[in-house]
Amino acid sequence: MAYSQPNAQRELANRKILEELQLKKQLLLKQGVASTLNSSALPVLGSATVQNSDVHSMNSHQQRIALHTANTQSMGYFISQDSIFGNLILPVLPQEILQQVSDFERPKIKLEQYVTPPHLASHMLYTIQSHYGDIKGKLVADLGCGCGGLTIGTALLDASLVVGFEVDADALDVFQENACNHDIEHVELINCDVRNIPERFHKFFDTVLMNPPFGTKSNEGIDKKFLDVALKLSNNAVYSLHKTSTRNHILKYAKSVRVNAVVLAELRYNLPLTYKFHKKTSVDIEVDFYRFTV
Amino acid sequence: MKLLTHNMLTSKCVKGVNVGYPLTINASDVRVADVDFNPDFISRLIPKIDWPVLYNAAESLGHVEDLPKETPVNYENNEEFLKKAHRALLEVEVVHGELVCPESGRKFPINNGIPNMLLNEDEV
Repeated sequence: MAYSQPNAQRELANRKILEELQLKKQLLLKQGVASTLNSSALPVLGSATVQNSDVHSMNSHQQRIALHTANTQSMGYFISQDSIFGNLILPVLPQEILQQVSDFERPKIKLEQYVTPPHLASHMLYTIQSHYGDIKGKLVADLGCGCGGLTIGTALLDASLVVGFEVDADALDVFQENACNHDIEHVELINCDVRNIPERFHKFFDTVLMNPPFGTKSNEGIDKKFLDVALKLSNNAVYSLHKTSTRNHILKYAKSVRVNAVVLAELRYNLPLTYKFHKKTSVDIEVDFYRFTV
Repeated sequence: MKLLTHNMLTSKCVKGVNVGYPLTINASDVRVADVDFNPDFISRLIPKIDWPVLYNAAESLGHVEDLPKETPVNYENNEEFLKKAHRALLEVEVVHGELVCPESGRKFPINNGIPNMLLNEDEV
């Protein structure tokens, strides 16, 4: 991991990547890449596997042509991949930088700490901005922000302010190291239990993002508690990940509290070996990417 | 911690506290960050803010400058005012210090700009 590198070297690498990303981001935002993509491909309910190793491989002739067309017709920068959203090509956005975001030094099973895979996080953020315009210029909350992958990505996509709430002070230490490498001043962190966020914050945020604990490991129901809080804090949209196996339950619940819920994509979340009790080196779990509107 | 955050935080979760607002700021280190100014964003924020609390917080940190005591009428189109509000809400930051509950006196430390609002089990 990035942690094995000496600090100075890592900072240099980070800075380089940041410079590159900023450039790409400006290009991307300026020319509105969405129009060059097959916009009807989203939302898509599919179950294509997401694998980081696929990112740089060109899988088909068709894909190569699409990439070529995109690169010649617009000023953006694209990569090809098996997209979970059905696009053959995707603009490079926070993924590179998200991969540079350090993760939990000593993950805590009690808090179900798993990092959102960078590949997935960048897809989520890209979709949230390009299809719903729910990041740029918005007030955004990230519940259970952990080491800050989603938060930092959101800030880099020009949210006006992102507030990350996190119960674990150790994760916030890593977050700050990540954030200061990226020189972002429009991020705010609060060390608190998501369930104790003051009522003054109700309806305060335009957009609430979260990759909540899935509510396993003696944590049952915590995902729903996070969702409850998120729905209270937002005056517009909530984006969240929940296990596909709980879909009926979540949709029924949303209906019962009169919230509109849409599954934007079915993802395969590749969980690498994080804890000692894991027997395999990695395992795919199926996760739904939701958009709730309050 | 930005003053916008201070404007929103309460200690109401502490057992026995009724309002827990506003929290007193004791700051030992304050900085002024450089945040991009977005007038639309600021004018959308202002109705959600308790303005006197913001004013008093800025004053207690020695950063009130020429922030008005009340929000002017038609502030949406008053760019000069929105810039002042922007500065007070998003740029003035408490790096180290503490927040104090006005009712119970419970202290919440602020380290490296992060307020620690965690409670012990027996306080909830």
